[in-house]
Amino acid sequence: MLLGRVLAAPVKGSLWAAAFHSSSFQAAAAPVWTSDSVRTGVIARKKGMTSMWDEAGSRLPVTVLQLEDVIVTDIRTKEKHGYSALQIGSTTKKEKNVSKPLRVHYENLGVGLREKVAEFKVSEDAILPIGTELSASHFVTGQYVDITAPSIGKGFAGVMKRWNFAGLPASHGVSLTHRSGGSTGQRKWPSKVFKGKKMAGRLGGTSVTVQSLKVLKVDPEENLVYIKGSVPGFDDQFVKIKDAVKLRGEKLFPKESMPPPFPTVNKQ
Amino acid sequence: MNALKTATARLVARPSIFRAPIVATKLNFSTCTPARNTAALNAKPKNVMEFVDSQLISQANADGRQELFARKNPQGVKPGSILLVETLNSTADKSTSTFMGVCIAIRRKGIDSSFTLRNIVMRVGVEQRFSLYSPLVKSIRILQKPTDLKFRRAKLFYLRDQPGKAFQPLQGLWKQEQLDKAAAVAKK
Repeated sequence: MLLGRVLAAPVKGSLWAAAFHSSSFQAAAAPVWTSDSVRTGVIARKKGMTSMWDEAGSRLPVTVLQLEDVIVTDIRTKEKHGYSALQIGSTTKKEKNVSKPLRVHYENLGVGLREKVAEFKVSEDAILPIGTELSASHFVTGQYVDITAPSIGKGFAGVMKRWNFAGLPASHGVSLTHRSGGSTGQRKWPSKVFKGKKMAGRLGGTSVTVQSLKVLKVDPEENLVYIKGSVPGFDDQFVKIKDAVKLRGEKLFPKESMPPPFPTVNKQ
Repeated sequence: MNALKTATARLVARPSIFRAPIVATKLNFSTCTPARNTAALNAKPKNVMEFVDSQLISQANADGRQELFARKNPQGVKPGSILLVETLNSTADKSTSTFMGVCIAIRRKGIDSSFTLRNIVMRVGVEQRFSLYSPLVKSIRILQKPTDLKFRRAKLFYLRDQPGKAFQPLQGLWKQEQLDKAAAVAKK
């Protein structure tokens, strides 16, 4: 039966991808959302910040994120890999900019070339076929999301910037050490500097997750998601958006939009 | 009147990067203006943030306040104009507060555009800054336009130290405003 599906599918390469490809995938029944289900996240690009006004008249800072050609590129299952997850790809790439090994890899999966790829752990009922397009309508206005992105790199940062040290006085005899950290420990005991002592070093460029940000508006035509507040990283950065992990049920999704589009919004 | 109509028609948010150069036609002495590249003018802005900004402004611009503060509008607000702003105290109740003053700064940042009014109230200088597209700003009225050559700067922060005669007409205008209000109430 699997062979019949493979012959029917116009997918080169692996049998694995063919079994899960959207052209040959046949879901047993439309999965139903439960409060224990974990939906997939998406990869978006941070486009910039603006502001909106709410009904009470207060001004809200808003970050605009755009989904660019986001599809499911691969699947991880409990049977084969030990955990269930979806690999999501974002932003198409030109063939000439991609090495041959990568090109063949995407051909075997049966999907177009993608610039950025990331995994999202999902519950088993939220698995989508390979090639499924994800759009901004996956998120619901009023829900809460977690956003992960690399923070802006600050280079080799001094102790005042990195750890908010107070430094030393500007005058009263202090010589050449106004921004330094001062003492690093005691004397004969413990006769060492403790591990993890706060010192100068590289700051930024690490992955940062901001939790429980509200989705203020979703634009399905331009694939835009408007998030209240700020998001780590600079403009045009790839960010990962997921449903907030610390909120469940009615606190996560507004009552009117329960149940959320599950496993994702249907494309008509 | 027609000049203002055509001026405001052209003020509809169109990013200037799409303004194509005027094409020189064979009829150099023709009275009709040469055709501009209308496709480029009406094209969607390529930058997402420009599109988002223009969309948010068009939603907030129900009463035409964008045209009032447009740079090219000759009847628009300029630094030095005397404005009367009515603000709702909250979106729930209908009570309003009014503030009148000289416009000393106009900050143009798309949806975040704002302007600052300065007045001298009971011998104390008071400045208030209003967000142009805030829903709490009910109405903006120009009471007096600045005469040409009087204010030659975009930001009139020097008025904080050297007010000169800039704030003198305010008292008279305020009294006139109260009289007009009373007359309007009496008519009802």
